[in-house]
Amino acid sequence: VNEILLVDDEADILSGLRNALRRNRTRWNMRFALGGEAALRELEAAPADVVVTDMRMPGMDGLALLGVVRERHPRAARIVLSGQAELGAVVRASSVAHQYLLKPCEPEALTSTIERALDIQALLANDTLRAVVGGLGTLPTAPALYQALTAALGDPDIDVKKLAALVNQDVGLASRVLRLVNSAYCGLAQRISSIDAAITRLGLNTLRHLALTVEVFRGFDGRGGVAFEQLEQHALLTARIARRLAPTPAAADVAFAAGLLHDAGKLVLMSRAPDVYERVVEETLRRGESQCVVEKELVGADHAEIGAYLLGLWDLPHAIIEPVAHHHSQRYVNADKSAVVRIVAAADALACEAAARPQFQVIPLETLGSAEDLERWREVARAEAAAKW
Amino acid sequence: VCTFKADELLPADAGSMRAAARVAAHESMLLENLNDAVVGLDAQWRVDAWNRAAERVFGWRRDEVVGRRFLEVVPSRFPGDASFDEVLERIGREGRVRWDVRRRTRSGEWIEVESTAVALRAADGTITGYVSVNRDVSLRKRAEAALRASQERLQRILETLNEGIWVVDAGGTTEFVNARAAEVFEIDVEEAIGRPFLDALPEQHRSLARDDAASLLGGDPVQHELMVRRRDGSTRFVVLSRTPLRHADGRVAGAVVVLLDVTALRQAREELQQGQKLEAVGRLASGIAHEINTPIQYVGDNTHFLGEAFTAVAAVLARTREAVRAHCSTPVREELDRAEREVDLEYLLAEAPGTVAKTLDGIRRVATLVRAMKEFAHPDQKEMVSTDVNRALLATLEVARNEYKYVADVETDLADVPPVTCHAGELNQVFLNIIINAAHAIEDAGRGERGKIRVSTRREGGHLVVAIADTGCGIPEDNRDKIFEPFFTTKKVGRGTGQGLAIARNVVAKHHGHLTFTSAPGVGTTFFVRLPLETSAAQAEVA
Repeated sequence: VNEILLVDDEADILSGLRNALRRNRTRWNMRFALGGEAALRELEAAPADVVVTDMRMPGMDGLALLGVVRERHPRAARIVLSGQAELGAVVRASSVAHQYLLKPCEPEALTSTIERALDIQALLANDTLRAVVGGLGTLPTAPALYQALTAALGDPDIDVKKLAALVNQDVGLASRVLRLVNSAYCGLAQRISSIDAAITRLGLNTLRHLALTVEVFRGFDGRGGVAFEQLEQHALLTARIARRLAPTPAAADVAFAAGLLHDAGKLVLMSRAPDVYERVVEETLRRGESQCVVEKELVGADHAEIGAYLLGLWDLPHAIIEPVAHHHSQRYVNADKSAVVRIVAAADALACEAAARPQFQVIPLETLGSAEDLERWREVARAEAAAKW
Repeated sequence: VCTFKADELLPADAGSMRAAARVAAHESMLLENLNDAVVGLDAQWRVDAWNRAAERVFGWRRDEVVGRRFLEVVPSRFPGDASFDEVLERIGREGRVRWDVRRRTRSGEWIEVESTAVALRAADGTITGYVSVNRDVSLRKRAEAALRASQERLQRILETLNEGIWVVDAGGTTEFVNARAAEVFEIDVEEAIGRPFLDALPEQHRSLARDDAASLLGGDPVQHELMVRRRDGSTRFVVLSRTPLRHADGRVAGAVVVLLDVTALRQAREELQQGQKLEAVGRLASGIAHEINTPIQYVGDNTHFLGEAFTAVAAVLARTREAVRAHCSTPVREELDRAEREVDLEYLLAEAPGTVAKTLDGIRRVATLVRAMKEFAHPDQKEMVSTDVNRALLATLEVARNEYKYVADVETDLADVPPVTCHAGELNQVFLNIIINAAHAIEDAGRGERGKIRVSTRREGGHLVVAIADTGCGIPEDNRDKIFEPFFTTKKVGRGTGQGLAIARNVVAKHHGHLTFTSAPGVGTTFFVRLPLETSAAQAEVA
């Protein structure tokens, strides 16, 4: 039974949630706290797997509460359920929340979000996976710049100049971020030539995802040779296609970041267990089977799981971890839990198709969209593959 | 000229001699004191008399010029550049010639003189000499020219003024109307002059200006705004200010009416106000949204719960009934039947689930509307941002539903188009205006059946094209070039300000786009909003 803590300053909301989520009572033990302070007391009394909180509350608000939760109860998934839809509020919350939901939220949507958070937690708590990853040696720590930028999101008075200075400290990193900005967003009317401009034009949220990717790839630099470069190319193309397939600008951001990181697990395998990974590739080609199946057999876990595990350790938003974890799961995509998972899976398949590299076994495109969709998607993929970047 | 020598002419009578001398002295004095330059010439045009005025006007002393040929001393130009011979011939023929001549003074300056030349003849008719009397008119000519220039300047100012000027005399009769004033009231200047102010106005403006006409000549300066309906249906807003004209002694000499067309100013003001209104609505919507969303959350949650609870209770009840029917005695079964009939259980079981579903639908609609309201108004957006136009259109359709839901069905055909950098709130206002116009047009067509509003987007090269088509009454040929004019409206008072499309066109222009339309009377109208996409091939190449 999972422990779910729901926090709001309105008793009516809490009783409504109690009623609406009642159907999950056999799987969840739901507890309710009226306000931030009460929530912390609840957590001291007994830990929770998921904390769902309102943002605007008297006394300790949602932002402050989740900050403390991250510190004292790092294993709890942090979800915001707020009536505030302003961009500023959402961005600030994303510094501490794994997920942001808007009121009014249907019980099905809330249930699904909580369940997916539990899935990701299960992944992190999975002993087999932990053993496999542990056997691969030390993993890169959470990217420093990404963390700094994420922390800055929570500050309502962030100073663009100060942030830019922070990024610019690492000259190599800054220039790679800018290169990525300009290649990924070649649709921008002007070339972005400074970190300041990148922050104001793209927003801090998008920028931190780009910085994250650069840091991730650099963390594995020089250990994979040609295969590594090919993987980086494939990641960028997948990201660009995913961005174009997303239905809204906000979803485009997430899809882009998830596209870049979807094969993070392969990076881990390539760098930490190059011999095993080579065998995985050989076997995959020889048997004509899914790479995930071969990985499970030879490594004990597939690259999707390993990648998601790594990003989970780094405390990334669930919206990014989820597509990384499930981009090879036909079942998950079919269940239609998240539009971004489907988009990343499709972008992955399209990028392989566009680059004519069928050895990367992916979910068949035909199962991901209608014939009409496919036609449109392929056009997008062709354009992105042909674009200069 | 004759110079008299008293002695030679002396008659025998000494008394008459003295009298003659006195006359000569008087004449000489007169001559010397004349303001006109008098020159006496012999038959060969040599100077023999030269009065003081001549010395002053031409700059030469008498002793310097006597005996010299006049035209050598004072070069002259005669009208029509007549030659000396022609001049002589004319004087000889006419005896006395009066003309304007330009003469050069000693200092080299050319002056304008009004000259009279007289030929002196002997008894037999031969010319013995000439007299030339010259009046310096340069100053007068210059003053006249200056006056003319000043009048012309004044005229030019009055005609180029942006303000209309209308002047009436003390009797109220129109003395002067400038072109701008005539244009404002669509009248003919010539016809207005000489008529009373009110009579000079076209029929439809008389009622507007009646008060002005009545008090035109009395009282204090007055200023107020007039709404002038033009023949083409457009409307102008004119500030009229009138001021009495007074003589030096304070008597009223007439009045000046100044007319300033403030239509453009007013439009700018209304645009600003509309912007502010939009912002206020946006802020309000955002605040209300937050307040509404909280109760919607728990009303929705609780309704879901009631639905589930009912289903569960109904299931238990069904099993209870089965058990009772199977195992209980007749009185218990009858008791249960009666209780079921009392509450009409059949009805409850049939209707309750549907009612819950309908309630949830209603809640969803409120939630959608609240979200649309916020998206429509965009309160927290000051700069242009990348915007999904399809989404903006859907939000606008949601907000405008009340305008069209009784007259038209909406069809959307939204293509997969890239985002556009824009002020979403302002663009939504444009879409809203067009959609409301479409609904009105369908209503006005009066076909008695529901019309159709079709909203579509597509990409056309570097542009995104939004087409909003209606099956309304169409725009008559005559009005097509006017519908974007500010304050032009064919709608009844209260239904439209005539500002919507004018502002819409400005907003679209601000986004470097175009607002156009096609229309067929009786069939419908389609408006096209064409917006440049942020990505052009050239820009992508640069990046």
